[in-house]
Amino acid sequence: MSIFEAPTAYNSFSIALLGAEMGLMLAVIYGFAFTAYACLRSSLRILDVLAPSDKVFGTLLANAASIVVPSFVVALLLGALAALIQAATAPLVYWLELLLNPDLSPLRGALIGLVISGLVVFVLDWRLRASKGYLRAILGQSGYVFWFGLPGLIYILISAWLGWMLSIY
Amino acid sequence: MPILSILFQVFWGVLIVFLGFVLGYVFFIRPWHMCWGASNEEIRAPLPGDPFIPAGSKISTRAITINASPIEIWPWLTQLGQERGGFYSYDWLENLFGAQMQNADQLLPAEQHLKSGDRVSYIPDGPPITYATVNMLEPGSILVLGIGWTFCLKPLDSHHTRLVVRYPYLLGKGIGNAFFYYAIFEPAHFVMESGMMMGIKQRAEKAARRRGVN
Repeated sequence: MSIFEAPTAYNSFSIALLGAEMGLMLAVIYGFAFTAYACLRSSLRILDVLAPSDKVFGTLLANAASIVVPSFVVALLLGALAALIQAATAPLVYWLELLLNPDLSPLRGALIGLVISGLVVFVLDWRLRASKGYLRAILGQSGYVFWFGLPGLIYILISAWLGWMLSIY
Repeated sequence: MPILSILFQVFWGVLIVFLGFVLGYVFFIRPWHMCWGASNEEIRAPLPGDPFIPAGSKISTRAITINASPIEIWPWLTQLGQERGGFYSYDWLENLFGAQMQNADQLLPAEQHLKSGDRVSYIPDGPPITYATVNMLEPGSILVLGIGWTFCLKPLDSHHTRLVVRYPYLLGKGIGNAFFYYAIFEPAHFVMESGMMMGIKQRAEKAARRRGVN
């Protein structure tokens, strides 16, 4: 079973693995999207400032590679965290669907995924706001949206989708 | 299990591509970006900040030609810092890490009085690791921050100057420190420092052109 193929049978373990796979993949895709954006934006500036005789091509290549390497490493590290969170969420959605959605309504399934992930995001947001030091410093800025806001939104949407899919299959 | 099979296929596929990329980075790109723009003479030449560099530091030496005189470039260096005119690099990247950076596009008369012992911060109100202290300053020529982060202006003629920047990083022991430095800090620092040098070039040349027109 994978998000690429229709599942034949469910159990908590296979659903946790599915969640882990989704978490890791989404984190890496998010990292790629950021990398593409950062490469494009910084490359435009390099082209604006440097003359062709200033080894522009080498600078563009080195700049892109130097964005890709740390971005991908951080994406993998945070992907492990995303995999853990989604691996815990997916079975929870599955169990609650068994309990609260016996007629397998996709809408109710999506709602269960939405509520569970929404609660997780709410608790994490509360903990983040209660924290001190550096974590606190990024609150209310673009860093908060980048590190928590957007990933949190993706997590909620993908959990709702997972709830929907678990009702269909 | 199909899920594991696909997971491993994707994982190994991505990992192999990434490892190939890392090898290319390590053997070709890293040696080049560690001395980006600098000539062999500039790399080997001692700089006034060298005595501050701790033994065993990892050192990069980068340089760029600016079409302006040292006197026209210097004011941009004196207002370096989060609490002043920023670092002229990619503030949209720095702000993802809570830097609250705002890069000045104009000279700030109130921030032209940098002196030895002043702080140059990377983020606001941070612990000592988040700021450098001015250790040496020769107006129009040398600025040394922290453990030897040196900005050196070398005039080529009356309208062209080489900005040479040497950055030392004291790598701690342990695989965790090495991993952080080589996989994250060093490539990211190249992006930010070359961005800063291009930002200084862009601003100084624009101001010099404006003065030339007037």
